[in-house]
Amino acid sequence: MAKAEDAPLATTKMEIVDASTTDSFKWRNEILTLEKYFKGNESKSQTMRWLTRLRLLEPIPFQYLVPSEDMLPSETIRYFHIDRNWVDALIDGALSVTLTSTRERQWLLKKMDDGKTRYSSLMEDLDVAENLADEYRNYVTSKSNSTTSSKQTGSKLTGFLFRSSVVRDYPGLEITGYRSENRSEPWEDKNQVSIHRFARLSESIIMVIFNGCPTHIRFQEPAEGIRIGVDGDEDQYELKLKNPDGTLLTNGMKIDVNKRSYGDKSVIDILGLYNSLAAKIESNDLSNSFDKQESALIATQMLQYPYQQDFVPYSQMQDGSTPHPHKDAINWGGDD
Amino acid sequence: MSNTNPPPPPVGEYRLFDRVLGPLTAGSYKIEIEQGFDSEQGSVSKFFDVTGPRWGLEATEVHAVFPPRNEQNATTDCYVPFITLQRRSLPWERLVLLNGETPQDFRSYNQMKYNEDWNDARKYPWVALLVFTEDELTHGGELGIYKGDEGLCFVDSKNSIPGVFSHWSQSKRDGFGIDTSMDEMIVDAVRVDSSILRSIAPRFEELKLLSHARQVNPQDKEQCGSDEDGWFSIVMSNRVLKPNQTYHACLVSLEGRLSENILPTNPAIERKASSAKLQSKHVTSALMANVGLPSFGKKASDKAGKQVAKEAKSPSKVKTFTNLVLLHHWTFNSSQTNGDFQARMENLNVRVESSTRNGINAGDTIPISDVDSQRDTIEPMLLGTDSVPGMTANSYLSTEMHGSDGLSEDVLYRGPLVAFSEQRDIKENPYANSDAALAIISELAIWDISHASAFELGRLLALGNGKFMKAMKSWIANDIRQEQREEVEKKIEEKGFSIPVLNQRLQSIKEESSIRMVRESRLKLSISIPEISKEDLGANLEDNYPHIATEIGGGNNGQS
Repeated sequence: MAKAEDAPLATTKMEIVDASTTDSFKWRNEILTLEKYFKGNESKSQTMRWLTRLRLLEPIPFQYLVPSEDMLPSETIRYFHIDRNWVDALIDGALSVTLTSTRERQWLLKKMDDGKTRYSSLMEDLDVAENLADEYRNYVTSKSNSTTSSKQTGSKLTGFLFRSSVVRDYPGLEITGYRSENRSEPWEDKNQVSIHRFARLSESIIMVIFNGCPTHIRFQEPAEGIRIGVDGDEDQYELKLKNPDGTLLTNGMKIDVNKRSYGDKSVIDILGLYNSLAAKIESNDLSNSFDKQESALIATQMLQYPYQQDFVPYSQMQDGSTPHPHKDAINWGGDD
Repeated sequence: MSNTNPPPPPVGEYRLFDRVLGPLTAGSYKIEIEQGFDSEQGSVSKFFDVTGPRWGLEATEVHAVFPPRNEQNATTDCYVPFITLQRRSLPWERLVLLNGETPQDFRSYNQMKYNEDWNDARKYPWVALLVFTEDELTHGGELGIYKGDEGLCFVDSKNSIPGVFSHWSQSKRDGFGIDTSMDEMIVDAVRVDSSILRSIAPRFEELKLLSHARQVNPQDKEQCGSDEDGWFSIVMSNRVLKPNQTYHACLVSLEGRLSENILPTNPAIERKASSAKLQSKHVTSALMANVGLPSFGKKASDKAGKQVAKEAKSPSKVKTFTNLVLLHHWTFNSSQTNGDFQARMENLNVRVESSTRNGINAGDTIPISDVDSQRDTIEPMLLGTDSVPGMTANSYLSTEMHGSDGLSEDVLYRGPLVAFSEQRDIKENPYANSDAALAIISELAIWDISHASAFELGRLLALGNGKFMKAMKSWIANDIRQEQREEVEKKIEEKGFSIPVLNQRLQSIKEESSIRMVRESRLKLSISIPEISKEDLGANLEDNYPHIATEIGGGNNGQS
């Protein structure tokens, strides 16, 4: 387990966003969507969109994915590769239902101008379509990380099933896969492997499918659910002061946090805390970019660092010559 | 004010905002439109409501709570409970103050510098997260949480408990939107001793400091985009958890309630005892606060000051209770053995492959945190290996297949999720039927029904999806018709005709008046049919279709 103290996490702002200016669907104009990809043939578009869902195993009953309960005990994580031949057979079955006449079957088997059968073209189209299916994630990825926004088509798919109370109690769990061929500096953005599908299958089970085969996987506490609190102990609560990017002040400055005299003395004097922080801004001990901030200032100072759980290849953990900083990492068989 | 909607922050980072305000708060509005053109003037009035949650939150509006609901080992490492709401603007969608009230009326006795933002009522949230111990909420053996059918009425008494707004005048209730028809309506409520409420509740200014909006990057999250656009609002409490307690976290509505003096203005603060002087001042402060008097020399705002003075004049020994609208509620227990995210992730189970430690055997399941990487070897955490009873190392499960002849035989099956990488065999043509997808495992002389099962499952899922069937059939039929048309057109072109020209000519023939008259005459039978000479028709065609014109020309001698 690691605390992400080495990296900036928060960028505080005090702007007030006028919520009325948000166009909920404007982002669709900026990416290639399934609708655009199959534009011009509505019947084909509808057909391919459902087959794409099949490709991503969406309508598949859970017992077909995990035929034995012992495969996924509670409080476990299990990694897998996807057998694409199984999925192709699934698509064949779905197509077969609509091929009731010889003419319809001939239609599917017909050789097209490029020498491939229509079936082959359809399957290639699905290879592209499955990359386009998770539209908002594609949009966000294109905006925030260009290295994972270009996906391989029809490539190897891997993933994991995670069954834990964490799924239920920490919605918004953040999971990132990385592939580092030489295993040096794996946790860099450029090594990210794009997520193909991230779905909750039940209250306590999630499935994540990666487009590719990551070697390192990181679980992080949800950014919107990061713990909020103070330092010190019940005798004297304190707060280690932070910069606007969430990193601790290099001089280690901290302030006392007072509490109300009531009862078990657990109610924090939030207004007093705010006044103390304002004084630190005035004395330039805290960045004056905090000036005029209110709840964002309190949150920046009280947010704790999110916990991370990393999974790394077993051999790396065992290899004494290249000790890994994450001592509690565990093997998962993610290597090819 | 910024009107921009910023793009998502980089992965792993987040942005914090003091608040997110919509263009209007909830309420009824009238819009008047006037338009003038020269001397003409027109106007029209339209009414509309801006709505939002007021008496309770839907489950979908709550994204997460901390500590988790029903947590038995909530961590007590100086953390405060908070609630994450799905909508970024929810805490500011209503006005906490009534008409005529201003933020200055409720200021507490502190020495902070107020800028203009502190005078703007819209910038205060209408909700607060109050955290009580079970003891604080229990009166006469009854817990002061009333939910669902057990909720309290808006006005009427229920089981001798007065309604939430029963102490308001009818005119005040009317102005608040609670008419007499709502007197018996039930709402979730929390009932708490008023003095305990004032001891725990945030001060008025603290309301503002305890709610913020947060933007995160949803790229690596579940359901990215469908219910998570990366924006949230967070309401935190002001209370640090103590061990071995049962807590009730209550998100309450304070809308219109501030004039009831439910928030403290000058709670006694325990400061660090660094000097005798400070200690002395603190004691005075605490004593004075207990009788509700300001301990600082600062002048209190009139309204709040009068309320405090009123309380001081007539200290009541009778317990008074405050009923508040309960928007959301959850409970948890705290303990010194932390049950937070870290502890849970470290308690994920792994299987021991081998170990040199005493008492740890192959096949044992132990938490990750107990793994000794020097002495334990852990099985890879793969889905479907021979650690599962009845399963092979490459994810096959033995099962039975019943044939149409009634006989059954042992077969192997595995799903699409397998422990090891499988090479994809790209086929040029699909399986014709499920039998074609059967495979035999030569080493064992046993059938592998995995792909055959997938084929059959695909059939079943497709048969159960009428929209897919209809769309696919339509696609095939349209394609076949198009191909037939193209074949015919190809043949025509092979004969030297130009399809576009033929189409154009056909259109012009349809539009010629003489042809139309022929049609009309046939219908009405009252118009004489004009004669169309072969020469006329032939001349028209000859320009474009010499081949046809030749044939028509040949008709003159009766050979056409």
